[in-house]
Amino acid sequence: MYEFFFILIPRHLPFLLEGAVVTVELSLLSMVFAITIGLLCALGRTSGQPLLRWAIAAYVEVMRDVPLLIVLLVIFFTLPHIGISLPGFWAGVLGLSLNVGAYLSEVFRAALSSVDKGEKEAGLSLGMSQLEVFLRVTLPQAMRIAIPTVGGFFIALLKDSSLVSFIAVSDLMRQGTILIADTFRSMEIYFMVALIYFCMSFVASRTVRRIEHAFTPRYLRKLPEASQTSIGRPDVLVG
Amino acid sequence: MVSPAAASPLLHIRGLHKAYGSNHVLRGIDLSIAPGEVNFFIGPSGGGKSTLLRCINFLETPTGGEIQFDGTRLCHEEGGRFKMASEQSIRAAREQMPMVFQQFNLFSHRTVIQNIVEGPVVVQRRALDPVMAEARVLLDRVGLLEKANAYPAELSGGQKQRIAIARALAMKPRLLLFDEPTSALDPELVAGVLDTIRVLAEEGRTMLIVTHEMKFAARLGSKIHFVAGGVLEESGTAHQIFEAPKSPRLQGFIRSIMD
Repeated sequence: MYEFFFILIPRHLPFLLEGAVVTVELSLLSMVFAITIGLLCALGRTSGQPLLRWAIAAYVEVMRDVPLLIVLLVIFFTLPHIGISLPGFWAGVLGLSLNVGAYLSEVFRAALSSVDKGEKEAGLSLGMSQLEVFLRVTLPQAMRIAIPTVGGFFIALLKDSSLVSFIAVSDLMRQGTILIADTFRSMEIYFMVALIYFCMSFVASRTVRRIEHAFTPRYLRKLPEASQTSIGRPDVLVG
Repeated sequence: MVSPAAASPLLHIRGLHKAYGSNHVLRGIDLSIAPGEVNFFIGPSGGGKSTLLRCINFLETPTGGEIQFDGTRLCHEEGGRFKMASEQSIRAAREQMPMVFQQFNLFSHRTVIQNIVEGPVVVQRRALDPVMAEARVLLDRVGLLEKANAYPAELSGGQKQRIAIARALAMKPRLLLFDEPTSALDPELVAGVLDTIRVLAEEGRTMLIVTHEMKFAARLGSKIHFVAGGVLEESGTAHQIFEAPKSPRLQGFIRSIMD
């Protein structure tokens, strides 16, 4: 019978929490870049020239069809051969942003095109410029539609970021692996690592729900919660 | 009394064409609108009346002809080529001729009062406070002051359309465009919207109204145009159009709606 050493928890927790901080930093940064990439690609695909549209479509397709782990490994181990050398943390940010950005571009494209064409025309008919229509009419409505899905991607990202432990980033997962190599106590360490991931995801999902609520106008709040909340892991993100 | 032809026209259209590929929707429209006139456009669906209205504010881009609005030339032909004014002049013109749509097209993420102040604040860059005060006056006039903080989704169709009219009026426009304003409404809500439009006509506002409400057009219109096959087939007073139609197509149309 395996004996669970509770004493190991307080002893190793600080080391693991250091990794958790890196995981959070990595995930937040990647998310900011991913949203930027996704939004730009969505716009490029709706209004761009054929060549730009094709390039974006190719990028999205590649990111969807290649495992995230391979993308990370290529960025970290192969790019240095052609003169692009990134520290592990930034290689991780790049890989994760490119991956999630590709998925978000599809989310944003759907959200942007779901905004009523008539409302855009109403904006134009009042003398708004195309940019004003986009910023005042299209974007706020598209964002509200996209928030639950984007939130779901963030939570998935928080967990998938553990793949960066393969490229020497001292995130939560890697700190755990190091501890296990030192102590041979995989049960206790994995338990703690899993618990920390759980807590981070739990807080994130509650935060997303709160943001979603804040962006939902009063008349939509009357709807049953199930119809507007879709937090959960979008399975497509699995690399 | 000054005849409409003598006053300098607010809107002047000559030889307006619109084609989608080989499909000619407008085939040379000539139209002159004097300030204070209410012009109605009637006719069969697909005849081009909505397209005409949407070409006037360039929601659809015309493919030929000339439009002058308030002394500014918005498009014309030169040496056989069709030319449009700068985007800025077109936006400046749109601001002076907002449109009321069949489907209302209120901004669904904004409250009623936010819908109304949006144009004056964002487009005309006016200060919020006086605009809010004016918006309340407008809301009171369309009888919906108590709905100021409601969202469009919380209103009936008739209420939405009256808000859309208030939103257009908030621009202090020279011309109002109505694209079938009552066609999407339940029958019992039509009267309220028509009543609002009637009051505007009595104030002497210049309006172009595409409609299927023949009785309303007959009662209110200083001029009625029968649009069919992409041309103004016949124009005249309510009496001329409904009691003494000349063209066979208009006669047929009148007969069909009387049934």
